[in-house]
Amino acid sequence: MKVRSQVSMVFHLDKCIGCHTCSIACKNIWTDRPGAEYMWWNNVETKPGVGFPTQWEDQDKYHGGWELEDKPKNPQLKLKLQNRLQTLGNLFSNPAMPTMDDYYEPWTYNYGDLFNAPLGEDQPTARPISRVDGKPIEIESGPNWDDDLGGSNIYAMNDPLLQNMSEDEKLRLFSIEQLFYFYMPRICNHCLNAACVAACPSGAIYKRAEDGVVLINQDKCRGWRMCVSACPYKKTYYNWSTGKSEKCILCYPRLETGQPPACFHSCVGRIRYLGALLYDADQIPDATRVPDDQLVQRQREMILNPHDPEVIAAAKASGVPDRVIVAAQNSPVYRYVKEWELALPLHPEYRTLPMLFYVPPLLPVINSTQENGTQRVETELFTSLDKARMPVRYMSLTLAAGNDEEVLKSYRKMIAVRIFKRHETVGDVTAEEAAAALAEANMTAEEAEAIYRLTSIPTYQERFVIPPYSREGDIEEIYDPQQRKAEAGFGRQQAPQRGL
Amino acid sequence: MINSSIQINKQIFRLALGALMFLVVGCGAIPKDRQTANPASIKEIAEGDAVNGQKLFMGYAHFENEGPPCMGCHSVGDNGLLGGGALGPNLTNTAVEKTDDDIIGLLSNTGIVISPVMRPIYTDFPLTPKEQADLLAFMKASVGEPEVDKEFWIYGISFAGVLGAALALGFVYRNRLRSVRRILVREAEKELQ
Repeated sequence: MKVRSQVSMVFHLDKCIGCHTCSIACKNIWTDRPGAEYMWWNNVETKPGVGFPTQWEDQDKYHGGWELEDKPKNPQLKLKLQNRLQTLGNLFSNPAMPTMDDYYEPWTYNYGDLFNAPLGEDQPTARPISRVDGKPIEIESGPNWDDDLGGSNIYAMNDPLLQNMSEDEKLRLFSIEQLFYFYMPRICNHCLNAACVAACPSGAIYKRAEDGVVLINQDKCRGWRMCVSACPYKKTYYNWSTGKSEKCILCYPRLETGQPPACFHSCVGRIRYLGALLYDADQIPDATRVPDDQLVQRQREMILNPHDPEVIAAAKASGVPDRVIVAAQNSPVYRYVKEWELALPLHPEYRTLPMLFYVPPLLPVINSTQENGTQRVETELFTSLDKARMPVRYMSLTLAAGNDEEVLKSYRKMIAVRIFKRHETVGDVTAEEAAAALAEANMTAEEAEAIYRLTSIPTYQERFVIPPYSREGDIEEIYDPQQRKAEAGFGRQQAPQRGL
Repeated sequence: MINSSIQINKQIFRLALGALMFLVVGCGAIPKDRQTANPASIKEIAEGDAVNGQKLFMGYAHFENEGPPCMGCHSVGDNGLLGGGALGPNLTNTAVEKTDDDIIGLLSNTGIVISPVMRPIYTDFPLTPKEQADLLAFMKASVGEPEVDKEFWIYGISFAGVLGAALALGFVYRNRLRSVRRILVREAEKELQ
């Protein structure tokens, strides 16, 4: 067992109000530089929708992620983009790149015209100008062009996930009074089996050992842009000004000083949770080679229980610091992902083992008017899949590689918590109904209470359990100057050695 | 004032030309032993071999001191598939226009008329008297041949080559992703109408 610690995330979609504050916080800190205007390391998409860049989920077009070889015996994982020989052939002309139009052409307005225009009959206007070449442009699209189902008969109808659904299911999604959409904030998933790392011809991308943050070394990057194609989530971006690729760094300078990343900190709906997960790195090859419907379960199996004495011993043997183990024990992510099995990875079928998990969105409370004029919460939402307004099929294609049961399990728990708390606080649901809901979700009242507390009234410290970083301290421990007596001297980065 | 500036310009031009020649020659072989060129005598001129001269001119035969073949800069008649170079003058009728002495003088850098371009090249790689005589014989033999300009062939082949490369690369990369959003919008709008 090779235990590693990973700073992981949970986004509670049921709480997301789609305000884009996270995106703006990120933009203001990291991507307001020339060449980075079009980048949104954090973006919020309306689903169903095409997202950013357009149809990023359509891997027939973008060739992102991994695929399993099509053979019965011992199938191997390979990049959907290309093999090593093809990498060489395509080095100067990467064939699966999103164009600038698929992101959007960044623009600003010529505000100076408002003040400097000569006196005339007409009001001066500020024309939009491109931030790439400075010339006036017609704005055709933006980073969130289909927000709130805007232009849905062009954009939302062409959501790649809908192509796998029946006409009936599609029709219901968009019909009046049945309409369903939700917001999905996306950042880099800091995958365990990152395709961007594997695709980089320069070896510039790496996963940090202490917390699993995936970073691009700006000194090594040669701008081949294979990571841009290979990342199935399209979360690496090419900076045309520096000629290097960039991506979300999970605000590691903030993490290292004990602060949550800017998008987490600024989240208005408090949907974001951050904490360490311990996982068994030896299981990565197996976990990526199971059939689609087992992917979620297999990924959960990789994540280890930080309270288990065996795991703690193995973690210590693997060099995980004690304080990180304590942080992993308090991690809200562990509870959502493993303990409660509420949170699911985004598109596990890309087989990158993403470490950002989503709690699927639930409906608003649905009431029905009773004969005596009182309102009553609906308790039988999930008796049959056909009746559910929420498109379980769509959610399972997004979060569980098409395995409906994983999504339903999560939904049953969420609805049980809702009914349970409704019984406690409002009282229009009987104790029997609440108990029946809990039983159907296969959970105890204590668990429901714990889910409620962490979902609805968590404190800042409960949402963000940042493992302590001790880079300087660790270096000092490793480089004991006394050990270097009579040796070749000191070195900060690399220990000097004698001989070759 | 104006005269002196023209003078300076000329000097700069000569310096630049000299530097260019230095580059052209310097990038080639280093001369083994620097020899002083001897002009061909009258007897040697009389024994000049036009066939060998043509070979030397076109580069089929090497100059003894490894000087570059004349055809790099000059054209004579319709020799060569794509003609000779266009840098120096066409030499088809030069044997009529110049005296033997002048031509030998040019080839050996010893005459009254000396080419500023050929001098630095053939100082380092001088021609032997036999070679000079053969070249002169070849030029005499070529007098009156039609002067064929084959530059359009070079343009044509270059253009066809570029076009061919573009087509080949276009075929190799025919499946590359060109646009997603524009196509999506176009198709969707077509369907909605």
